[in-house]
Amino acid sequence: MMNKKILIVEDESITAEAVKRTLEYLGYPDSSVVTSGEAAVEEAQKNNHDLVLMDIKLKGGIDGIEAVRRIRSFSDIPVIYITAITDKATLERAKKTEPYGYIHKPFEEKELFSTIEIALLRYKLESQIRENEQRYRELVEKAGIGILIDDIEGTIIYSNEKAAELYGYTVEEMKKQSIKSLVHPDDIKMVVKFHNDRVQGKSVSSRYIFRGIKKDGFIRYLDLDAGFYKKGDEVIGTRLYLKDITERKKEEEERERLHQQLAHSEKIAGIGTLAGGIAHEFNNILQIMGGHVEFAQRTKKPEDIDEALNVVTFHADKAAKIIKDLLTFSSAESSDKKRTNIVELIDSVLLLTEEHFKKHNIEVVRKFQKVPQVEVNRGELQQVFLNMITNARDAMFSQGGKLTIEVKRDGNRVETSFTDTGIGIKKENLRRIFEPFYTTKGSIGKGDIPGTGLGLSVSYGIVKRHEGTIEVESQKGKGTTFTVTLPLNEKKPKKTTQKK
Amino acid sequence: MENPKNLKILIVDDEEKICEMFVKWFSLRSHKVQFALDGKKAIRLAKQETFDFVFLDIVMPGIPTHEILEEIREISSSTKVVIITGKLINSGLLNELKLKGASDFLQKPFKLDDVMKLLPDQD
Repeated sequence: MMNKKILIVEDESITAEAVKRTLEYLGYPDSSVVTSGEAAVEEAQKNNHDLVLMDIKLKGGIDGIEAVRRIRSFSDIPVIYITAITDKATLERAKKTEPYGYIHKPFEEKELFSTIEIALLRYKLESQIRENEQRYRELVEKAGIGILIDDIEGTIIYSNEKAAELYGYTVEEMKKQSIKSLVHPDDIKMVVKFHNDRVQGKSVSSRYIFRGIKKDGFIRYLDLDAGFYKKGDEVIGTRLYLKDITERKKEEEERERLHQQLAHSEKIAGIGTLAGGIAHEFNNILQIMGGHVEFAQRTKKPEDIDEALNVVTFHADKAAKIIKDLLTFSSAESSDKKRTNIVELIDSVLLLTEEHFKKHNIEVVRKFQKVPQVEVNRGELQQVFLNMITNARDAMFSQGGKLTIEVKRDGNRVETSFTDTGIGIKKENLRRIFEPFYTTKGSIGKGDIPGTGLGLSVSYGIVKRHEGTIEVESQKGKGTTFTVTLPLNEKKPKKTTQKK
Repeated sequence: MENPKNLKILIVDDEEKICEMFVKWFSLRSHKVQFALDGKKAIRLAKQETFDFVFLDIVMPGIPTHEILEEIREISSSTKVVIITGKLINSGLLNELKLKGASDFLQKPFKLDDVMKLLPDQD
């Protein structure tokens, strides 16, 4: 209460002087006196005072209540009426001017002091509340996201500037809208369902995306975060926070379109590789068969005819095998699955290839954990493992090295990895190695080691049909790891009573 | 009938059965045929002997086909090089190979007569 300045409005000078002296005594030395309502309004405009002590009955054109009414139009300064008037009508008039106190004459010092102190304190607290409210109002109204509140019927009762801007209405126009008029007709059902589920206490995401309809009819994609608007425990509406994601959505759609285009052109490129590979293989086969037959037709010698027939038989088989591999790559179903010990299956393949490894100075390291049996098509899986193993061998063809085969269980899956210490795969090739006829080997791949570019693509097809995955990691010059992961379908143990 | 002009021919193809077929075909005309399954051997043979014709497959492991072509033409500019292809080749590659000295192209599968037509008249 440091040096609070009090304005005394009192037309009787003796009384005024007495009040002033009392105030001095109470610790308010800086009070001043005016004697009319008009003077009080004028003085209040100067904004020099912290509180007004107002007599109601004043000489001059306006009384104390009218003076305060005028002051209220520009100032919220606390006012205490000091008056001898006690009739109800006057009291009612006075109440409308929101006074901070009402003291009857004659009064006691104590009463004056406590009324002034309480008024000043109340004013201080109210100022803080007003400031706070102002701050939050500013935050909400100027927020970069749209904020709406609707009532239980779905009529907007509050809209900040951003929400109005999103919809192309003024804030005032927004308040008349029903929430349904702001939602695309096709999305209303969804929005209503979200709302009803929320009301019924179901666990429902507070965030979702819907299409809003602007005043001009244009559609905006809006990211909504909604929650109850409550008074105490009672739900009286919904709070809605809206973010316009139309641009982001458009970018996403554009990206998706480009992605699909790219995927499509990669597919076309894949078909091109496939067609080129088939053309090369088959034209060679046709050339060899046709060429030998033609020769035999010219010479008509039995040994040439015999030779031609052998060549034709052999190459017809070769052509059939290529087609079978291709069909394996593309066919959709996998038949004849049996519960199989993966380790035994790998051993069977290693048995066939071990000789090669010895010849090429390659050491084979087995790291086999005990794993449950997996339901697979054995022939196909053998083909996959053979492919993995020969690939590793080819990668270490010239310099030798180490092939580590690891079998382990990873949760509900069996993981088999083949790690070689070979030449590795270039980063740019890694992406394409599962494509049919994509190879760096053989005549197609212009490599020294024979290969058709079908192995990995066939393996990929087989593993995919077993609902597994093939992954590859490679470092040029260091080596490559292929990991084949197969699911353990333990839920249906079929006829066998075997358990994991 | 023994042909008065026996040509020296080199076949370059990584498919042995194709080379074998050529050897048989040219044996009908008593030409002298050798073959190479890779570019290295082809160049080595070209250095040892001057060939009248080289039949060169467009897809070769190791040394790229156009390099084999250039090398052979450099060793002997009189050698005619026929490019064999199992795929359709685009006009860009075709022109490039022509510029580098390829005299003809054969698309697999081809007939004995298609090959013979490329050789000079012998009767």
